[in-house]
Amino acid sequence: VGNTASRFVIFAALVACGVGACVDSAVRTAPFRARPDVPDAGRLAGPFTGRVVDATTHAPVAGALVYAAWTLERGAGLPEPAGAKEFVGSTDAGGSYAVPALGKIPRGTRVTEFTLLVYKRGYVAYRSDRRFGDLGPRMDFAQRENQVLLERWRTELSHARHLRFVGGGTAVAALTQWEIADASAELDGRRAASDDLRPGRGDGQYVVAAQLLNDMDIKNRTKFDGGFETGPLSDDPDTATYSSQHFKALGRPETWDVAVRLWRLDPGKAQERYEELAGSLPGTIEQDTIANKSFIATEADIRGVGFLDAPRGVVVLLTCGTNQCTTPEDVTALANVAYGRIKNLLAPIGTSTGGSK
Amino acid sequence: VKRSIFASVLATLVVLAPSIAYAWEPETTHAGLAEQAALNSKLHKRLVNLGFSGGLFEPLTIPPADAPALIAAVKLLSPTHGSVPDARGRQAALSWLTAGAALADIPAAHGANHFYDPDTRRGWQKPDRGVIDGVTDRVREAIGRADLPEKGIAAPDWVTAAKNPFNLEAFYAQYGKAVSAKTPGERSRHMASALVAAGGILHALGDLGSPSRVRGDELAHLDPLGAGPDDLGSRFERIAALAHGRLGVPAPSRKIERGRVREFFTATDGGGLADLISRSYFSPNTLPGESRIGSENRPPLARAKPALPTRLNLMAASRDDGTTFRNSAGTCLARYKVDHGVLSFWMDDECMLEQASAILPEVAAYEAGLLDFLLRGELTIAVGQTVVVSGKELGAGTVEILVEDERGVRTSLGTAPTQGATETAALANVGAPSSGTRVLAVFRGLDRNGEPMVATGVMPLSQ
Repeated sequence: VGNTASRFVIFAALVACGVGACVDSAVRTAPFRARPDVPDAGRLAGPFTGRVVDATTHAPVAGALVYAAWTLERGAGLPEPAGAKEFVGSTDAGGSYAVPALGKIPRGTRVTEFTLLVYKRGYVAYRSDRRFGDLGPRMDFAQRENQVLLERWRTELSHARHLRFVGGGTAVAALTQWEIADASAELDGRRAASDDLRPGRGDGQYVVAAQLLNDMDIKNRTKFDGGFETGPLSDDPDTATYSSQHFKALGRPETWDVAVRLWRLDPGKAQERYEELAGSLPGTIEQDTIANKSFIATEADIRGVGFLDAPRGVVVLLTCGTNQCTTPEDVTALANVAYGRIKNLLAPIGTSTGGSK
Repeated sequence: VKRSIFASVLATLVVLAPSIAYAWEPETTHAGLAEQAALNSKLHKRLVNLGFSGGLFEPLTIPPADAPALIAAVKLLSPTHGSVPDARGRQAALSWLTAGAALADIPAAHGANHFYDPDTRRGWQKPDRGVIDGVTDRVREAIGRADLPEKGIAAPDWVTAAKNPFNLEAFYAQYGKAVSAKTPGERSRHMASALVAAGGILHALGDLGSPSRVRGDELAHLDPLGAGPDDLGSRFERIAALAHGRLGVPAPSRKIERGRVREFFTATDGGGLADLISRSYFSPNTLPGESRIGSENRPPLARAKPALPTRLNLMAASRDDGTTFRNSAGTCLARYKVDHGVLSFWMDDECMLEQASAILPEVAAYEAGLLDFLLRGELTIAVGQTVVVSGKELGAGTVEILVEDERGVRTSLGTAPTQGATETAALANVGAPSSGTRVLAVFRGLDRNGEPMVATGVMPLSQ
């Protein structure tokens, strides 16, 4: 009831604004709010500000493409498209973006629409006008202090739908090239796809790699004083059984990066996965100090720790550059933090109660 | 409650984000309809079959230097809807189709050719807006801010009109060259051009899903929508755009099959889109007229259909907010109420939203059917000592047989005239090529109904 009432208030306020002085004859009144917490209509001309965060972890997403476009129109009664004004930028280390206000527009044209698109590989794109899941109208976009929750991309999601969703613009098209083959394969029937964005898919509790470690865990252990850009690794997208989290050290080489890969499988398959990892990584030494089984590995400038929690069907591989993890103990300590989180989040397979929150 | 809230917010948006257009909005609704038509037609498979391996997502290029006017027009679209190519003139096949669907309204005067009233068999006629609005229009025209044509070409005629750059002839010409041109680059350009023309044809058809366009209600396209004196358009079509946008346009309800292009628009059996919409829905200025309760007179109708029920619910109509006249599927056709003994009808935003949501899947069905109709021609190729091309339901025309080499270059092996065949029959044959990766055939001519047609066939060659 409260929600309905608040929407009614918003509606009433917007109507009052619409029939009043808010309408600018060269710029239509915006179909979005000025800020998330106020009922006033925003300005189609901008400026726009907001913050982009990972929908799972709420960690800021740095380096995401921010593409904005104002649609122009001219004429009366028989109007026609009259071009567009574009802005291309990206989110900063804190996930924030700022789109400057629209400048001058050609004489005789009017601004009819504004669309903001946020895109980063490994995530489902965000549009200010539509939702990806049901393609319905987005009602929560705001001109200022907008919050963008980026859902992680999963292999079973539809690339054909995503390419349609993302739309165009040269900058965007360049970033979405990698999706074309999969999109085409879907239409050929060679690749199944789903558009289900609901978390907690599959059996059991929803746990992903991003929940196992955060940047403060790393900084507390390694005393690193820089910042991280976080998000899924770009090699393999998340699936129902696999997820990853990349801590990319800002302005530093890869030897400062940390990555967590998590597999959730049935116990037999988890054992196989663990053995594959232990057998394929160079310089592996069995330690068995974490969970049921664990190893430590070193290759060039990267240290890694893998472990198996057989009752939970969990395999984790944590890698850390040698500038970040200067000793093997550092990477082992971070792996122990991740294991502690797993025990809190997940119950062993077959038990009726989940782990504590 | 959710629906009511959405309708309220929608109403707000119509007030706050007034206008666009006199048509389904080109960059949202039309582009979305074209996408749905493509996704639910044989276009993807046909593209793959003809060598555009990415199908609907195959990047196709029209170099700006080859078609400067077209590229300049495409640049007038907003990139956010996915129909603007990059600097090289390159974008996906699907995007070229949606670009055509949006470009059909450029220049603006072409929009007047997207009307057809099956009752009067005429297209757009400039409406009489009364003295004051008429003067305003003339002032606007005098200072060059708008120029409404007196008349338009009826939509079913416009798709074959020579003045239409996106007519059937343009589609078939480009489609044929997309198979027979020598190099992959040329074929890419021709296929992109064919898809632009197809998008324009789909647009002309799709517009006839808007009731005011098929009931002679041009006045409904000059509603003042709020953002200044120039911002005139159809409130119904604006609501459709706000509710569905490009991405939310619903999938086709079914697949429409017709024997001739014109029959998708209008037909003597009443099966055209214009016929269906005209008899099924009212438009804002063709609602039943007022009538006094108690008199013998029924509310006067602008058209025989949709007919009013024998008994209206006058008790419910006496409430302050009146009641609703719905069709058998439960879609709102109009509101009505009795006030001071007078029965009157009107259409509010929520009613329009219901109609748009019911109509769009039908429009998508017609567009998907028309796209399949454009691609209906298929040839069969058998390769032995000779290459034999056969087909069925073809009229007179010519068959060209080509071979493609490993570089993707296609060379004609020969062209032969044919009188066609109603059943599968050999149309042409040539000696088999000594090398190549595949053999292709193109028929250019008429189908058994005398309609223009291009038919294609492909046969891979074993290496």
